Amino acid sequence: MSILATVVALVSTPADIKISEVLMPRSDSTAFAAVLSTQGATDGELAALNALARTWEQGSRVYTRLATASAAGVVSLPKAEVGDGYILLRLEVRKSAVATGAQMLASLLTEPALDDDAVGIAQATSNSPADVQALAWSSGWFRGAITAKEIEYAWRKFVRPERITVCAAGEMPLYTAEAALKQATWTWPALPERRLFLRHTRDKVDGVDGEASIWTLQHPAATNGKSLAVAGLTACLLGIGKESAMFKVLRTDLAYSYRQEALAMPTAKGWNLGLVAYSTQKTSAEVVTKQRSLLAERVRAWTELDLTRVRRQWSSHADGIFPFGPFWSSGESSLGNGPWAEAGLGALTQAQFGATLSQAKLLQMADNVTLDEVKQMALATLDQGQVRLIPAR
Amino acid sequence: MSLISASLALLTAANPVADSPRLHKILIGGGSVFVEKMATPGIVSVQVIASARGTQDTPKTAGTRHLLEHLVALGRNGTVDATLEREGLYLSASTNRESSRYEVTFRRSQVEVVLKAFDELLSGLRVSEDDIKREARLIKEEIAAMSARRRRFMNLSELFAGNRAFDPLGDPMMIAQATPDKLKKLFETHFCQANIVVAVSGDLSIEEGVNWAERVVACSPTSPATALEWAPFPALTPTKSLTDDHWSLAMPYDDLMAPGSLATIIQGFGLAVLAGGEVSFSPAGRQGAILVDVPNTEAYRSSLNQSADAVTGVGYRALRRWIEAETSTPARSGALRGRLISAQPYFTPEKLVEGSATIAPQVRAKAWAGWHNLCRS
Repeated sequence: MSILATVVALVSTPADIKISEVLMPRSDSTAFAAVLSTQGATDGELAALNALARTWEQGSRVYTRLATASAAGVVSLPKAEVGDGYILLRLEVRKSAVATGAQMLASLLTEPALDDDAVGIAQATSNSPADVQALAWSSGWFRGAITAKEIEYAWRKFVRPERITVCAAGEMPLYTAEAALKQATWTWPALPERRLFLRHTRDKVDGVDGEASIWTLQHPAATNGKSLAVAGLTACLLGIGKESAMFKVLRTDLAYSYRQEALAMPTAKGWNLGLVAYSTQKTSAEVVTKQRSLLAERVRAWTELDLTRVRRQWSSHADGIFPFGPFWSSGESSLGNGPWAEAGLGALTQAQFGATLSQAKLLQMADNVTLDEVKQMALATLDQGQVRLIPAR
Repeated sequence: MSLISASLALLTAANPVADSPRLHKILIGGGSVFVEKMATPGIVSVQVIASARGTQDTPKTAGTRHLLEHLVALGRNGTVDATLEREGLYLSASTNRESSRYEVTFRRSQVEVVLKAFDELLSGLRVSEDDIKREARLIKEEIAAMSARRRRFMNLSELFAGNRAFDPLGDPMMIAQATPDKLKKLFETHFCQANIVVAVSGDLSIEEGVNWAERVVACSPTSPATALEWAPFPALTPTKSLTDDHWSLAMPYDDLMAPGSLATIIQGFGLAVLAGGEVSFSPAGRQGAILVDVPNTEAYRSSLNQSADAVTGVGYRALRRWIEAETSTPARSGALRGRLISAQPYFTPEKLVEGSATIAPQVRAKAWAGWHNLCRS
């Protein structure tokens, strides 16, 4: 399905929001994704923005949780994910409800419900990760209670049109989503009247509840489409599937971990190539160094056959056979599938590179990637990547 | 493999749960073939759902079927993954309380590679003491790497049923006690023809799908002479626990299609939506449960003040969205439909939706009172 996707990047003048569309034939639904840049925020402001993102999942003042959850045209309820320098907000509607989807997105961003219920849920969920994998990729969670007043301050300061990039993906006539977004009511908040100093501090995460320790390794990998294609193939070779280097070394040879994977993780300006492994076994810096060296040995032995194998795997992802390959939307989840994934990828790459990419476009770029390029990227990541060790407690 | 009945022949269902032609055929050996034609150009999924009937975990064997899943997925010759991944394909395997499942999605032109892989999976189990040690160690790692929510559900299941046998991941201590002989016997029963449903979904003709599915069934062991039965399970009572400032709630049901059960299930979905939580729902034919995990907030408490009708309405939409998502690809549709058939031959997602739309007000009220009693106890 996504192989046939056509990307059209458009610039919309009202409100200065950058809008793009990914046209996907034979899709039953349309997904909207908005990336809000959180660059320049202090730790306190980031804590409030994290909580704001969670309130978006509870609906807006106009589109309440109850109304949205009861609406027939809604395919996927709003979901917000917090990453390094951005928040990604997505929702999905039936293709007959594009106007509703656009208005809902505008309402969530500009008319958030900062009532007791929404703030209570935001409090409960933004201070602690839902999954250890979110913990593995975040640079920290926040300590302390956040008030509706603080969330409102962060909303007024950061939810500005120039910080927002929107992408819609689905089967629709060209410019349909753009027109719907332009017709939607965007009630931009007035800037805060005076500066608030928010005092929340980051919890540096010195351990993870449970029996498994985690190590992660990250290295900047992609700042444009071509390098993102290299990163996609490299992640597949390193850690997707049972023929991957990480599976062979960490699971088959060392019986060290059940769960080990490589992925491409977005940041505000590009994508990092990342590796992660979970294990109950004693894990020290020396253990990780030894494993990096075993993985590097395997990388040096990669052949054209390996590259052909992962091209086929990635092409299976793009044909919709599997979820969206090695690309993640945040530490909380992978990009997903179908319009949901394409809208997320489009909005992220538009915000990062100024170019809306689809998986089909990336796959075309991957055709020209060489074995040397993937080896180089893998070795650079293993050699220079930043390791984080989170012990079990 | 001759046909004794062709039930539900070429059903057509109403939107939104897809409107594809489908065939469910019960074979003389007791196994089932399910074929669904979907508009997914060139893409097909084949999966085997093996019922736990006659092989249910007990407190003393908790997780042994999970261990078997790990070993079966390696293939008799240990070449399944390498063969499939060379073609750009993956085998996915999972274990539920009611069944285990093995699936490959592929392009039609790759069918022979895939059928050969299923032959390697189903035509015998090769297992040694060392294999058991290695996989038992990996299962320990698997359980340790669970998400916080999954861990809460696992703990709740233990509280709810009184032992680890309710949760399919099992108990690493019990898993380590398995032996090659016991596992071979378990394999012969779990994968016997009477216990399996082969589901083929995607871009193919019904005849083609039946042919492929019957070839897969033919690879599996023949059924034992005596009929397989579900072991009795202790009565389950509504249970809740508070961990990490999250409420985990378990509400049992006996008969999935009974209006009272459907009301309980959709209200569980509704409660999760209104309180910003998540649901774990695995449709079971008998003695199933819906598990709900919600943050301990004012929103959770105020959602209990909603009327039975409001929660049922929200839950009904959520159930429809869930079913729509679970039938959106050949792999997901085959999994849900195959598992429902495995639980009861006449179960379908459409019947779940239809049954949920026509629940009498007094049944809704009674089910909601059950949630109230649990949450406010």
